[in-house]
Formats: sequence, structure tokens, C-alpha cells
Amino acid sequence: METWFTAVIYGLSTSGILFLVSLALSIGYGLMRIVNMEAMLYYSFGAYVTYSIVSMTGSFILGAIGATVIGGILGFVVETTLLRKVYHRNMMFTMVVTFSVFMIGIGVIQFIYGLDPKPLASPTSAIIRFMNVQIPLYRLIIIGLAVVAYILIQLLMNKTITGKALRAGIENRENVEGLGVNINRIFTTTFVIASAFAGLGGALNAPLVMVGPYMGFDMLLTAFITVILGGLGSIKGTMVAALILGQVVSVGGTIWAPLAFVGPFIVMFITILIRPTGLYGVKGTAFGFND
Amino acid sequence: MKLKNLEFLGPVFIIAGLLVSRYLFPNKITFFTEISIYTIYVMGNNILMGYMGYTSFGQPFYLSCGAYSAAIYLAYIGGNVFVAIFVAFLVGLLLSFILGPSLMRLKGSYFTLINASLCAIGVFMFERLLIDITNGNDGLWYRSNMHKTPLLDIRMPQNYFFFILIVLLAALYLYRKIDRSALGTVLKAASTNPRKMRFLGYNVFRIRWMAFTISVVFSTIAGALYSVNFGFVNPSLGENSRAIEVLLATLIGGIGTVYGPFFGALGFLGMKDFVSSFLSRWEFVVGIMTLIVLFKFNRGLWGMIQDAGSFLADTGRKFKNNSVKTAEK
Amino acid sequence: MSEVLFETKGVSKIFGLFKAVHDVDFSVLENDAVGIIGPNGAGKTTFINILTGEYFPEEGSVFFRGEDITNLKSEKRVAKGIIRTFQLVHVFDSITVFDNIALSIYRKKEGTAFPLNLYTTVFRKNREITESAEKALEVFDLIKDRNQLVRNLSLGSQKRLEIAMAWAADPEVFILDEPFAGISDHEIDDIIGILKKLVHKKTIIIVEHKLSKLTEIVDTLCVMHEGKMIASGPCEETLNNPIVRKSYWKIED
Ligand SMILES: Nc1ncnc2c1ncn2[C@@H]1O[C@H](COP(=O)(O)OP(=O)(O)OP(=O)(O)O)[C@@H](O)[C@H]1O
Ligand SMILES: [Mg+2]
Repeated sequence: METWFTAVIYGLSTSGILFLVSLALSIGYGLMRIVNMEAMLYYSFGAYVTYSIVSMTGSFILGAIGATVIGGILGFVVETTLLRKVYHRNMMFTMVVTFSVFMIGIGVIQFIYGLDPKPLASPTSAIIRFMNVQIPLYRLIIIGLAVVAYILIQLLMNKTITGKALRAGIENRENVEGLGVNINRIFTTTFVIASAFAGLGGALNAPLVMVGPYMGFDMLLTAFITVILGGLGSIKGTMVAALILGQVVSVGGTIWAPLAFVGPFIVMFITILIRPTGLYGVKGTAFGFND
Repeated sequence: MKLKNLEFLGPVFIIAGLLVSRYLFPNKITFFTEISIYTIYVMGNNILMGYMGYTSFGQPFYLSCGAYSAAIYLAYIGGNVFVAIFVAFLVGLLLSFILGPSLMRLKGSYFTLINASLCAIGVFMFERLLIDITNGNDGLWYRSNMHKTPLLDIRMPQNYFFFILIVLLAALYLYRKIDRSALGTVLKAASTNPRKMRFLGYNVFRIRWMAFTISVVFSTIAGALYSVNFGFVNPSLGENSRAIEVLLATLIGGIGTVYGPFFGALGFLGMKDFVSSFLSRWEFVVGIMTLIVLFKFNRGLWGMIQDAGSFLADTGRKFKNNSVKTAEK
Repeated sequence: MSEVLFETKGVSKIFGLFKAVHDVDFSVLENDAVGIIGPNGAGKTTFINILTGEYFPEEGSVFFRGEDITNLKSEKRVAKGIIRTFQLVHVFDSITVFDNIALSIYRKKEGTAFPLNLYTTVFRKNREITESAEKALEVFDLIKDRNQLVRNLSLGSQKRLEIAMAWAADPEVFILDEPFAGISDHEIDDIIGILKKLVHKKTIIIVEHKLSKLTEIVDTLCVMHEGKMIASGPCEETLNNPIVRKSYWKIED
């Protein structure tokens, strides 16, 4: 019983990180119809920056803030210098381009930090006791931050003009442009926010995994599975999918260890077979079956 | 005109070039062997990328499936190298029969991602799930199990080189035929407008499946040739991060062409050889190169050679015309 | 009296809540030439898509030579001799004009079992294919563009090429969606000249806005309006039909 409870909590923290990291992918597709493979760079850089700041100052909080900022800055630079140039190109082209940028980023990380993975201690080793179960406080913090991020982005989407234009843009880009809204600027804003979240996700995940040049790769596929399951372009979908996948990894892994790795793929194959647009997908032409 | 008539000798020229290079640079023989094998691998990807318009981030998966099937055969079952390669061929067929029907019905971007997932699953499988058979990250060694082959003992690197050249020659002619035959035209047409293909009465799905099969078989055979060459495999052959290498090689050579894959393999491995002698951050270079090729150089090396050829032919013709004119005067 | 070739009974196509094609009964006699007119958005293209298997109707049935083909896939309908062109020209940009036509001939020649022969056939080397293709190129005045990549052709030539591809497959029925849209009067007359030779030899269904050109070819005219087939019959009679005058005439020039 205790094992299961712990697994569920661990799963929730995984979901939190997945949600933060996947948002940039989901929004990139939802609004701009691009598959931006480079999004995982914001995540890896976030983790590395956290590592640097923690080594220098000893403060994880500063590290996490630094990671968020770096994620946002990188997102801004990549979006304005590169992604803009490829929006109108075909899907395959943008995928290869963004994948190349991802590789370049991995190279840059290797230049700066070398190949060896960097360990990072958990900022707090406090344990919360709940009935008979011991839960690390850090896991709960992750869950809390992810919930805050979700609420923030929902407020942004529902309460601000930018958010409303954005939602309308995801539904139908032409209509919004017809109203004279500069969709590029709105996209940049949102993309920067999503990248900052990915940076934060990197910071939060850093103590849980080894901070290594290829950490983005390990996350890339899981993040993609999250958005495929949730439906590209849907923030709520991303959240629900992250919740499901977190449990698949954590509870599934408790049942049979390899499921922690293979489980998400199984989920993806099932999704694609049963509902190619994902749980809350906007109608898109890029994903799904050929006509 | 004359150039055109000599076109069918293209594969022979390539093989001859490799042979000459082998004697000019005798200590680089493994490098030339690798180029030849890599060419076959790139050919497989080029069918998807150049002819069908599908980008796969999962080619290393097919390569390592081929490599491991040959390796497992050699390590546990028999010592005949040719049988090992044949086993990889069969595994390629099997893979495409199982995966083809679902993959070929997917839209392009799903195809890309699912292939990337296959790659991850493949590494997981060879590294951990099948660790009792594959020795995980330590890799599988079987060179001593390989039997001597008749006529040419291909366990020797210098003989293996000749064997690979023969395989490459056959592959090039096969490939040239694909390009010229109805199959090549049908694939290109289906990639630009699958809908129109259906309304001309073609079963696009079945044709794509067939091409996918060819592509996978090229990859698994390349994988088997690798494992025979090294006498050793480990899971890193199928790593996700290497998926872009074969895409880059295909792009460097020029996509959708017969000889592109060879020039791609040559350009890519040549660059790798050169760069890695003074730089160890390989991903960075690959990324930059891919961007350059995509944005500035999209006809690739073979496209450049063709352009140079037609430029020469044009100037030649002009020169001739001019001299005719002056003669008339 | 020739037999009914193509027939629909009460077909409807629904997009969401919107009935793009509404309970249409339609029939064509063999070797007849039928024109379909109607304002923009009337559902003409959608109806063609039902005939050719791009869409399957939610209601009603489609018959070809008395056989129910409502749920037959498009490529199988082509094998039965139903061939179409598109409103927005659909040709293969990245290959040559000759290859475009050869593709059409090859499918006709090989029927449905062809994938295994794909590898052994070379279009340029196959006499049967080159001969038929040359003929098509000549009829459609594309000889000089034979080895051009299609993307270098003008729109007019591309439209001609698309019809040539249909022609080369020697179908039972031609279904042409706005073959005259976006091309010059001169080019239209060329195409009409070719089509006239086919009238009463093949069945032809043409969707077109240019009524004066259309009536040069067809004997029967059908009018669609808001998804419904509101009239059909001989040209004169249909055009004088009061319902048609009311709902259609005010739009056509
Ligand atoms: N795939 C689709 N999804 C939703 N609505 C569609 C779809 N295809 C067509 N429609 C709608 O159905 C109606 C009929 O369209 P259709 O293209 O058949 O008209 P048409 O008579 O061919 O017009 P035109 O003369 O402009 O070609 C239009 O209102 C169109 O918006
Ligand atoms: Mg129409």
C-alpha cells in the first residue's frame, strides 16, 4: 500500500516536470504548426545553469530563477532568429532544422561543461511523513510549482487579451490575422513563457536525474509523447497527458521495471491507433493518418 | 550527349575510384570500406527522404537491427558470414512487414517521431532487455567465430574491402534501376501529390510499403556489413543522437538522386575524419553542417557535380557554335 | 436507347452541421455529355468527390453500371474507368510532362496488380507506353514540353496536361471539375476542340461556370443550388426553367 502511494506521488512530480517541459512543444505546434525539436535545449540549459549557480552560490532558488530566465532568453533568441524563417516551410524541413539546432545546443553544452554528467544534490532532504508513508518534500515542491505554473498559464490564456487572441489563433489563424492582430508578436510572447517554463523544468529535474549533455534527448521523446497524447496545441491536454504519463512511468515502473521506460511508448502507439489527434487535440493536418 | 551515353558506367566509375584510392592511400583502407558500407545505409534513407518525402529519425534502429541480427547469428548460431548477411536481410523484410502497414499510413511528422521512438526502444532492447544475449553496453564479440570463406577470405580487411566493393556495385546498379524504373517515378509522384496518385488509380499505400521495405532492407544489410567488418557490435550504433548523421549525409550528397548517397557518405565521413582529428564535439559540427546544407546547399554534392557538368557542356556547345559561326563567316 | 452508366440515389454529404450535398438524385446515360452548373459553394465539387470516392456519402448510394459503388475506394473506381480532374490543377510538379502521362497509361496497362512490375518497367524504354504517350502529347499540343519539368509549365499547359492524363488512361467516364477556370479563351477553345471529339464516344461530366463554353459541349445540363440538384434536362429547357432562372440566373453573367 505504502509503495503505491509513494509511486503515485513520485508520478505526480514527474507529471509536473513533464508538463513544464512539454508546453513549448505544444504551443509551437498549436499556433505555428511547427514541430520544434529544439525545445528540449531550454530544458537542458536550465538544468546546467542551475548546476552552475548552485556550485557558485549554493542557492537552489537562485539557480531555478536563473534557469527560468535562461530558458526564456534562449526561447526568444531561437524564435526570433530562426523559427520565424521556417514557419512557412514544410513540416519535414522544420523538423530537420530544429533538430539540427538541438544538436548544436548539445555541442555547445559539451564545449562549456564537458561530457561528464554533473550530479546535483537535492535542495532539501526533508521528508514529510503522511500516515505510514515517507515522501521527500522536494517532490511536493515540484508538484506545487507545476500547479502554480498551470494556474498562471490558464489565467494568461483566459483573462488577458493576449491569451484570448492566442486561443483564437490556435483555432483559426487567418481569422485572427484578419482582425489586425500581430500573431507573431503574440506567439513570441507565449513562446518565451513556455521556454521559461521548460528552463524551470530543467532546474527542477536537475537533482533527480544526472545533468548531462544528452538529458534533453531522454526528455525529448517523453515530451513528445505528452503532447501527442494531450493533443498538440491544447494546454489542458498537455496537463492531463502529463498526469497520465507520470503515473504510467511511476506506477507502471513499480509493477514491472521496464515499463518505466517502455510505458510511454506503449501509450503513444495506443493513442495513435485510437485517436490520432490526442485527447484534446485541435484539428491539424500535420499529425494523424494519411488521407 | 557523349556524357549521357556513359551514364550507365557511373557505378563502375565509383568502384574504380574507390579502388584507385585504396592503392593511393593504402593505410586508409578501413576508411574506404566504411564509406562503401555507409553508402548503402544512406541509400536506404534516401529512398525515404529523397523519393518518398519521409524524414525518419529512426534509421539507426534499422541499422542496429541488421547489425545485431548478423552479430547474434555469428556469436551463437553459425560462422558463415554470408548466412549472417542473409539473416539481416530476412530481419529487414520481417521488420518492414510488421512496421510498414502502420508507419506508411501515418502523416509525415508522426512517421518521424515514431521512428525516433523505435530508435529509443531499440537501444533499450539491445542494452537492457536482451542483455543476456547482447552483453549490453560491453558489446558482443564474435570475430573468432567467423569461418574462413572460400575464394576470398573476407575476414581479412583487405579482402573484405573487395567483397564490399562487389556488394556496392550491385547495390548501385539496383538503385540506378529503381530511379529509372516506374517505381522511382511513382514514388516521386506520390510524394508530391498522393491524392492525385489515388485518382490515377494507384494504391499509394501499397507502393509506399514496398519502398519502405527496400529502404529497411538496405539499412539492415548495411548494419550486417558493419558487424562483419568490426567483428563486434554495441548498442551505441543505434543511438537516437546518430539519427541526424544519416540525414546529413543524405543531404550532403543531394537527395533523390542515384549517386547522391555515395557522395553524401564520402563527404560526410570525410568531414568526420577531418574534423575529429582536431575536434571532439561532433554534434556541434553536424548540427551546423545540416543547417548550412539545408539553407544554402540544398542540391548537395552530386547536384553540384551535375551543375558543373552541364555548365561545361553548355560552354562547350557555345564554343563550338561560335567557332562554327566564325567558320561560316 | 443507351443504358444508365452512372447514378446516385439520394446522396448527402454532411460536414459538421452543414449539408454540402443534399439528397441528390442524378443519372447519366452512357456516352452522354452532362454539364453541372451552380453558384460558388453550391456543392458541385463535393458531389464530384462523392462520385469519385474522395468522400463517402452519409446517406444514399452511388451506382456505376448498376453496381453499388458507394463505399468503393477511389483507386478502385479508377480501375472501373472513372477518372477525374481537379478544380485546382493537380499534376506532378517534380517530374516531366512525359512521365506524368506515362503514369496514367501505365496504370491502365497494368490494371491493379502492378506493384511487382514497377521495378521492371522503364517508361522511356517501353514502346507501348511511349507510343500512347506521344499520341496524347500530340493531341494536347504538349510535344514541345515533353521533357520539361511540370513546375516550369504555364497554368494553361498544366490544365491541358491534367486532361491529357485523364485522356491517356482511356476511361469510360471523364469527370472534369472546372477545366476552363483560370485560362485564356484561346486555350479554352483548344480544349473544347479536343473534348468535342470525345462527345458521344465517351461519357463526360463537366462542372463549369463558363456557361457559354459549356453549352458547346454538353447536351444535358444539371443545376445545383445550396447542395440540392434543382433541375436537369436538355440545355435550353433547363436554362428556361423558372426555378433555375430565379436561383441561378441572377449570378451568372
Ligand atoms: N472538407 C470540407 N469540410 C467542410 N466544409 C466543406 C468541405 N468541402 C466543402 N465544404 C463546404 O461545402 C460547400 C460546398 O463546397 P463545394 O466545393 O462543393 O462548392 P462548389 O460548388 O464546388 O463551389 P465552387 O464553384 O466555388 O467550386 C462549401 O460551403 C464548402 O465550404
Ligand atoms: Mg468547386
